[in-house]
Amino acid sequence: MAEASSSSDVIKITVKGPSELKLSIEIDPSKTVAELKEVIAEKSDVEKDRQRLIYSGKVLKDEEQISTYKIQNGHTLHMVKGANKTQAAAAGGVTASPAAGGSTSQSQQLPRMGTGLNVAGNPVDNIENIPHGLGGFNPFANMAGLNNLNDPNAMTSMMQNPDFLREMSNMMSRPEVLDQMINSNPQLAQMGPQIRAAMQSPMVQQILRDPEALRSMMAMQAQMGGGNPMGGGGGAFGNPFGGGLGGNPFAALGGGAGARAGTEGSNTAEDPFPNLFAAGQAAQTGAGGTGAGARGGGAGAGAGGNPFGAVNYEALTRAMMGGAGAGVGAGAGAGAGTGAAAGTEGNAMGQANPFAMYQNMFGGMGAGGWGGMGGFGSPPPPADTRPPEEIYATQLGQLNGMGLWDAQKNIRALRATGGNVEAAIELIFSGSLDQ
Amino acid sequence: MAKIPRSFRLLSELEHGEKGIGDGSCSYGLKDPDDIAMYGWNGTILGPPHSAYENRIFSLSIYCGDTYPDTPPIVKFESKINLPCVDQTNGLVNFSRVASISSWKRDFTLETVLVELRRDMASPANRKQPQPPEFSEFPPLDLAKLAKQRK
Repeated sequence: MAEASSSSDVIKITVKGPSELKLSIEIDPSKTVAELKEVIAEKSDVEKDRQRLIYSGKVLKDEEQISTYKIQNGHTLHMVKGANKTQAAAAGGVTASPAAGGSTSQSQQLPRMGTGLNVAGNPVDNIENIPHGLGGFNPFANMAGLNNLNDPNAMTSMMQNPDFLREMSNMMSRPEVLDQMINSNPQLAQMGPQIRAAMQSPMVQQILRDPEALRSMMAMQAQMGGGNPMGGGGGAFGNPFGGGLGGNPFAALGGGAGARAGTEGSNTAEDPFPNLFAAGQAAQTGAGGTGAGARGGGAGAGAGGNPFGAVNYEALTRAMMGGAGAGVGAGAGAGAGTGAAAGTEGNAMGQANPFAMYQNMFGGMGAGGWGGMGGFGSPPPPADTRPPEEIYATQLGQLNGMGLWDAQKNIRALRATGGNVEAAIELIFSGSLDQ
Repeated sequence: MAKIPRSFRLLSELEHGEKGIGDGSCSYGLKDPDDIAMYGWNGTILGPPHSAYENRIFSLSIYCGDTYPDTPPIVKFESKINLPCVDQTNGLVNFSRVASISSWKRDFTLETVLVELRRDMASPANRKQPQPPEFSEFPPLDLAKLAKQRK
């Protein structure tokens, strides 16, 4: 130690910065702090003038020698970014797509994509029970490329993942699953024979069995989600399924599952299947027996309001993907022909950023397995502009109380787990956040 | 359980502070590394984001008297700050105004104090408090003397 601190010897220090930036720097302590900042600027994208270095409770002054502060080998400095215009702009209200920030963003405004947090104004969700991808409960967890369901890219890869698609089409084509879906929804059950017939029609079955078809539907949905709600676009794609289908069988899946994800979020631990198709879950959302209205009730809405309405491709897709709003979408598609659940909840699709869409789509995935799919067609709710620190203040406090100090990591874990502290802890200790 | 003596306790806190464990939102270290008795400390609190304190670094002086950690340290903001628990004339922190640390426990550390102060800053009641201009400071105060007076 004594040698290391002598002014001629190079010392190795660690600089921790925003966004989990961690630099290892070797420097001669006789150099000035300003020179150290230059070194840091080279290794990070924080320009020198914005750096503020803190060591042992002191803010380091540019003109001082590093040795003044008696920083020793192996010690850690904290680097903080000072205010600048970008930050001011960020504070002024973030309306732009969070995608712009991305993971490389060094600003305080964390990228919000894929958090499943855009739930403001959603009557059903609250912070505690956002649908989310809990790794541990995720039936697809073992599939390659699906580890981070909060990653918008995960959706893309999911779509391209034959395993996933096969799994889905398998499930959707199993008669007992369909039966369960139908039976679990009184309204569908009433329509029993027709629905069943529709579901078992070769065309639907073919679509369901064919991963390619599923994928193209999903892809199409994704594109449409990107700001083109299709308007009354049912016609544009024609109605491949005929009126009889009504989208409802799938909406039942979506409604039940989505609602489940929405209402219970992280707690959907066990066997996803019983929950998935339970209409009762949809009722839990407050949508009531008819399922009309609230998010998650879409299934019923579609079924009740438009049992045999013409359903456009999109509506079906939505319904299939099980959006809580999807059902609403299905109904709307048939009735009003807007094709977008957007209108139902007063959300202009145009405003919504596509990532909100993604996160809705798959945000809940893990929660109940298929249940999570519920998000797919749901209207992108207005972004929750509150910073994650605020949203998760309580949880962060708890994590801090347990000695988990890495705020960035904590936030990431909380976001990934929808604010479930226990799950977040597991995630943190699993080390998967360290990659 | 045996009580950890003051010096051991402070040494471990010092090491903790120097290694920079934690997320950097709070930092602390000895004012004078050669101060064997480890009385005087510096601390910084990084203003919690999305609050009136955002992007500011608040400097504090901390004095760990002979009875620390049985009694709380004396904590003084050097940077001016508008916070209910801070005496606006001299920057001293009134522990009784910070709910989480108002009843001092022996296992509270300097880090606890800083973290709780930061939390207090971020609390809904305080986070939008108008703040004095940055880089303004409270008048200096001899904490050692104050500690003796309090004894």
